[in-house]
Amino acid sequence: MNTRARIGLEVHVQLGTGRKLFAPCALDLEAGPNARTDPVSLGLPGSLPVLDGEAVVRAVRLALSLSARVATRSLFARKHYFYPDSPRNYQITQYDHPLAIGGELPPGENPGESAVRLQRLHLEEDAGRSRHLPGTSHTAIDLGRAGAPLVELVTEPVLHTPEQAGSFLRRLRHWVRWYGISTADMEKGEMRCDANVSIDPPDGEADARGSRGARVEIKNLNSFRHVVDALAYEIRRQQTCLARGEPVREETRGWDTRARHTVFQRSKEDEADYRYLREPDLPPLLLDPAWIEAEASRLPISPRAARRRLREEFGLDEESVAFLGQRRARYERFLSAVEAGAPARRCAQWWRGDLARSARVRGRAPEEIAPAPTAMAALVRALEEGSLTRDAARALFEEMVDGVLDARSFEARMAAGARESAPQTGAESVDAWIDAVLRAHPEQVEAYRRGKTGLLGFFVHAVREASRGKADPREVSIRLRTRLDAPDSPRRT
Amino acid sequence: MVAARAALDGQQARRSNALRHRFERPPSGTGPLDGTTFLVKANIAVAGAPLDAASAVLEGYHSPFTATAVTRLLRAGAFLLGSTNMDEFGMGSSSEWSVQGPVEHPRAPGRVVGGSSGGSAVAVAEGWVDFALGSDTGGSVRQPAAFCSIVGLRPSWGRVSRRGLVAYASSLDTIGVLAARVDLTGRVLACMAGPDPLDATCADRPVEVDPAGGSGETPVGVGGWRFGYDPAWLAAARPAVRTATEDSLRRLRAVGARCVPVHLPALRPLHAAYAVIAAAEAASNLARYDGSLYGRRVDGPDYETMVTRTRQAGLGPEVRTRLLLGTYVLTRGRSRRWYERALGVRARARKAFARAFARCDVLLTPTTPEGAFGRGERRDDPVALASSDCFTVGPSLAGLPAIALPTGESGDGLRHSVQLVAPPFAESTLLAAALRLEALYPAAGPPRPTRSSGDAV
Repeated sequence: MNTRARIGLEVHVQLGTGRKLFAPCALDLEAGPNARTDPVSLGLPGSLPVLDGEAVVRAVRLALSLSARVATRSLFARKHYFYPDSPRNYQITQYDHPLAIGGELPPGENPGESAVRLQRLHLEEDAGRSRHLPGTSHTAIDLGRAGAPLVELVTEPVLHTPEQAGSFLRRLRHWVRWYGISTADMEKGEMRCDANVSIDPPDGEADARGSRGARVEIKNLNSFRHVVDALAYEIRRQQTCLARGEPVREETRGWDTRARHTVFQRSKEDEADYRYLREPDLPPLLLDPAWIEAEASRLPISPRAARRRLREEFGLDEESVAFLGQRRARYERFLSAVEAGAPARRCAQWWRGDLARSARVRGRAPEEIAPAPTAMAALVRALEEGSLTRDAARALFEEMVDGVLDARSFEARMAAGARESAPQTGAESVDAWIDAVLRAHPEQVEAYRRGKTGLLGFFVHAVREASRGKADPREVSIRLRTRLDAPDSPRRT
Repeated sequence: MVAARAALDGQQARRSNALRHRFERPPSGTGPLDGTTFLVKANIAVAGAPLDAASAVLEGYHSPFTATAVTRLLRAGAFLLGSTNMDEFGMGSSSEWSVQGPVEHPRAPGRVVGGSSGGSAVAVAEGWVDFALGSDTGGSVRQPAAFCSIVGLRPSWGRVSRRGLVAYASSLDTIGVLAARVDLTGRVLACMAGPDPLDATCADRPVEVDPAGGSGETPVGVGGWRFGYDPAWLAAARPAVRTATEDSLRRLRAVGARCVPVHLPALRPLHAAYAVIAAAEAASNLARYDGSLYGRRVDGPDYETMVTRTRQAGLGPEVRTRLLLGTYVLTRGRSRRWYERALGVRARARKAFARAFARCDVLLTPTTPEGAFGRGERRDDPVALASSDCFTVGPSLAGLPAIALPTGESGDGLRHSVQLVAPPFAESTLLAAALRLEALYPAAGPPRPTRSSGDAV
């Protein structure tokens, strides 16, 4: 008997705009209960929601990065339910005309991490938080979170195991961080998840609901572990039911983290009728197709493409690829050093070694303390050429990070170190190497001229290889740029 | 201003029960409204002042902010003297449904002043203040203006910011003006109209209202103007009202205007659609009054009980009826039959009005099917009560600007009223037409106030 599980996820991600979705009010959950509120999120009489443009930009970017179709016209709706942490007793969300439809999260690096198709993506406001005060009949309400900007992302029911669901969420978190949409910290509730799970009916026995078994929704899973554990439990529970010949009922369940099992909350028939109403206080959200296109073209490189580039263009090992491709800021800082002439492999080595260590002891991220691109390039070159010992370079670098040495002096020291042993090359031979490289890579030259200026690092690297390390990277970089920016290279002699 | 203060604190004002809260806000600038005094309906927010929409559920609530419209009027030089009594949350056509009790008609004892902006209408008709703000959802400015023989303007939906107006039915709500004459009405509108960053539905359209357009000069003729009227609408009015409306058309024709018959949407479906949409949005907008955060709370052992008790004690019977209706028409499985059908009627009405405006510049209809009815007559008959709105809900559904204008005497010391309606955002046309029609009734406008001897002057 086929008892394959089918899982769909609804993920809420808080957009990192720092303010509320429908009011010019700061969002600061650390400011203390009810410290940051405003007439709109308190639902005061006479207040009206006004949509924050920055939240729209972020949600659209996320949608575009996931190849979803962004609607040029989407609508807001009111979803009604009485609950004390929802001061208007309705939530403003998007219902029948969401911001974006379709799309997918691309496959991950590991086997089994296939692409996950998405149903839709929409904007909505968060509710406040209720905390039942232990030992009393009272509930404390914090409306500081009420009105926080959320994007809700719904997957197709294409996941089959708890592990796939966990992997999807991890990849999604990495993805939204990469694109600067959200810090997506699950512990802070910046990313939350509801899961729908059913067991496929045996082959050839499709029931009235089509090919899906009865669906159970598990609400409010707020860590990766809870998602995986709750799904594993729920799948077993449903399979046991079916094996006994009992039907699975459509219902909503919760995850009891202590008892480690899902608990019945309400049946689907008892589900609140949300009485959706088009939000009369907000006009339709109209997006100019040209603007959407421009946003799409402004998207940074995708995490996959970045990793591919690190691997293929710079020949880095998998550990380095994973390390440098972990965050976009890190990737971009690394790239800027290579473009300034740092040999890629040595640079990656330095990042994972000395830089990471210096950062770790200071409780910071490597990309936060990395020096300016030219200084970084000089440092790595000096290391490569042996003109500075590792200890000396590190001591100087840490002096700069700690503010003992100013950035300019640091860079001068690094450059001096690099120059001391830098092979003196005549302009003629540099040009010859450049000619050879440009001739050997006509496609990349084309691409560079079409605007993929990020290829400069590639050329610098190739010229350095051609010169067997003799060409001065900075000089190569300058000359390359002159040549590539001129229309008629390779140079005619 | 001193006289206004004295009038508002006098016996006559007390007897009429037209005022809700007395508070004062001096002008914050000078401009076209220098030297004028005004009141706001009790559902319009003024920072630091009570804001209760005449409902027990908002007892003791003070707004932390001021409505954009009010801020602009204060900046233009007007002096604010308090708020006026009304039907609770704007739901009513007689100003009888208030936590403070009904508004009395000073000119016609025993009859209603209209509603829901009844207090505002009385204050202006009695000359206590120069103008008053009301809110018009389905006729709540125009109908009391008609019953009190003054001018009542409902702007296009989206012309005046709703920020600070306690929501009843958001897609229909507007802040309107009540004044004795058209020129001041236009000036007030010009001062408060225009886009507002705090109301996303407030149109970013230039304010074409010419503030000097109604500066009291003799208006030019109406030669070439086309006034549209629908004989079917006229036939729905009482004979006296029909005769008075035909008299207006006759006078316009006499001075060179063309009066053209047009087809307007049928009245009954309009009214049904209005009732469904307004109730649905009201049920949504008023869901927030649950006793949790502000206003009145009646405690209970748990949240549900608290909410139920608070709403039972805090909301009046008329409001509760509409909320039940509004909840019903949005319920899963019923929404298609009621709410969505009503939206269909509304969409068709918009088109029908647009077609009518292809044949005329302004529409002319009676404001109400009859004059002020008796107090208590319709308290228990919501359908009859609502029928008083039959000519005003159409323009509301279509978002059109409309103005109620006093015309000939109706024989009971009051005046008849006609409604002029213009295309969306054509307030300039509307006001120009109103000025011209007003000039054809030189004696119109409220009789000057006669203060009773007990009042300080």
